[in-house]
Amino acid sequence: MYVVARIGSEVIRLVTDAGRGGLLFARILGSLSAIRRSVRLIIQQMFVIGNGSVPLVLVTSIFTGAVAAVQAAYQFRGYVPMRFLGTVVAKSVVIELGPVLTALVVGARVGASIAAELGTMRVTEQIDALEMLAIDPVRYLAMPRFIAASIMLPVLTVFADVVAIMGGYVAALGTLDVTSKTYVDGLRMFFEAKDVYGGLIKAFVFGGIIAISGTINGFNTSGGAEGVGAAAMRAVVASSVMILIADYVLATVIFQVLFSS
Amino acid sequence: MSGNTTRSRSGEGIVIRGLAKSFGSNLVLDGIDLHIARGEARVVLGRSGQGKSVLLKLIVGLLRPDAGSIQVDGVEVTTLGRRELFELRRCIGMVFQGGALFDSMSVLENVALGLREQMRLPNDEILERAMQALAMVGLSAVGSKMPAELSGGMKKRASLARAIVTQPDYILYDEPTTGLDPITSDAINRMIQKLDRELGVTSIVVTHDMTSAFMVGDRFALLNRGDIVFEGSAEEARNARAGPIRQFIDGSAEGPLESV
Repeated sequence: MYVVARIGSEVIRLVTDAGRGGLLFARILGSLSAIRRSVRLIIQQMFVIGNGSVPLVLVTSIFTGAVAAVQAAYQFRGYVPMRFLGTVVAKSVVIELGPVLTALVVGARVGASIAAELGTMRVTEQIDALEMLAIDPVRYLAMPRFIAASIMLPVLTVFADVVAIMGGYVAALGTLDVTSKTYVDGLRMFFEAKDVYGGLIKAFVFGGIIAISGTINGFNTSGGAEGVGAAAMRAVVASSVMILIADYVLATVIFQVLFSS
Repeated sequence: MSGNTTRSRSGEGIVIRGLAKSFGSNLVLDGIDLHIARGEARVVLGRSGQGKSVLLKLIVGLLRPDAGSIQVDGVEVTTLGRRELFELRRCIGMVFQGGALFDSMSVLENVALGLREQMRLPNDEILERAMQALAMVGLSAVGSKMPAELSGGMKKRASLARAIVTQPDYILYDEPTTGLDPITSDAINRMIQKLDRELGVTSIVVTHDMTSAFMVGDRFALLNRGDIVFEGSAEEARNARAGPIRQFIDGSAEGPLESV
C-alpha cells in the first residue's frame, strides 16, 4: 500500500507541476512584449546555460556516439553490411540521442541551478523585493531563462551531434575494423537535413521544459535551505520525466505527421 | 517623533477593516481593524509568529486576505490586478527583515534597480539618485561592494536606501532591528527617525523590540492571536499600568498574553 501511495503522491505532484508549468508558460508568453527590456538578462542567461554546459555535453556526446557505433556493429554482425554503420549512428544521434541526452544532462545541471537560485531568492524574500519595486518576476527572472534555454539547447545539440558522430567514427576505426571511407560513405548515404531539423525542434522544446521546471520549483520554494534542496531535486526529476514524455509526443508529431511525406 | 509638522501629504492613509488571513488551519489574523493616518509613524508590536509580517504583505498585496478590506489612500488593495498593484507599490517602499538585497548585483545597482525599471531616466541621473540614497543611510563608501560583503546592519541600511530611492509616501519596515547588536540597532532607529522627518513619509514598523518602538513610533498597535489587543499613542502605552501592553513592554512571561 505504501508504494502505491507514494507513486500516487508523485503523480499528483507531477500533474500539479504540469499545471503550474502551463500557467507559467502562458505568463511568459504574455511578458514577451517587454522582451526588449530584458535583452541583457537573456544574453547573461545564455552565457550561463550555454558556456557552462559545453564540457559536460562534450564528454556525454563522445561516449554516446561511440556506444551507438559499438551497439550497431554488434547487431549488424552477420545480417547488415558495415557500410550502413555511419548511417545508423548519424540517424540515431541526430534524431534521438543528441537532443534527448543533451537535454537530460543539461536539464540536470541547469534545471537544478535555476531552481536553487530562484528558490534562494524566494526564501530570502528577494522575489517579494522585486515585486515591491514593481518588477514582474516572470518578466525579470522566468522569461530570460526560458528564452535563453530554448535558444541554447538547439545550439548545444548541434555541438553534441557533431561530437557524437565523431565519437562513433573513433570507435568505428579504433575497435570495429571499419575504414574511414566506409563510415563516412554510410554517413552521407541517407543523410537528410529534415532529420536534423526534427532533432533541433525537439531540443528547442526541451530547453523550454528545463527552464520552466526549474522556475516553477524555484518560485514555489518554502522552508529555508532544506526547501531549496528539495526544489532543486524536484526540478531535475520533473524536467527529466517531462523531456521523455515530450520526446514521445514530438517524435510522433514531427516524424509521423509532419515529415511523413 | 510626535509633534512632527513637516509631514503634510494628502491622502487618507491606510484603512484596514475586518482583515482575516489563515494558512491552512493556522488562523493568523482574525478580522482586525486598523487606521494608519498619513504622516503617522505606526509601530505594530507582537510576539514572533503573530502575523505582523503577514499584515505588511497583505497591505502591499504580496498576499491576498481571506476576508476584509485594505484601502491605501482610498484604493482598495485586495481586488487590484497585477498591473494596478505595481502602480500602487510605486508609492510604498519596504524594508525586508533580512534586507532581501539582490545578491547578484552590487549595492549601488540594488538601489538603482527600482529607478531603472520604473522610470525613464538617463543613466547618470539614476546613479546620482542612487548615490544620494546611499549617502542618506551613510553607505556612500560601499556602493561597489556585493551584498555578501556587508554586515547585517549595513544590509539593512542598503535595503533602506533601496526603499527610499523612489521617494515613496509609505515605508514599511519588517523587524528593522532584529538580529542586530544594540548599537547598530540604535543607528537604524535614528535613521528611521531621520527619514520620517526629512522625507515626511508615513511609516509602519513591525517589531518586538521595545527600545526601537519607543524611539520611532507615534502610535502603537499590539497584535496577539489574530487580534489587536492594544491600540494607542506611545504615551498611552508607556503609562499603561496593566493589560497586555504592560506585559509586552515589561517582557514578562506572566499575564494575559500566553507564553508558549
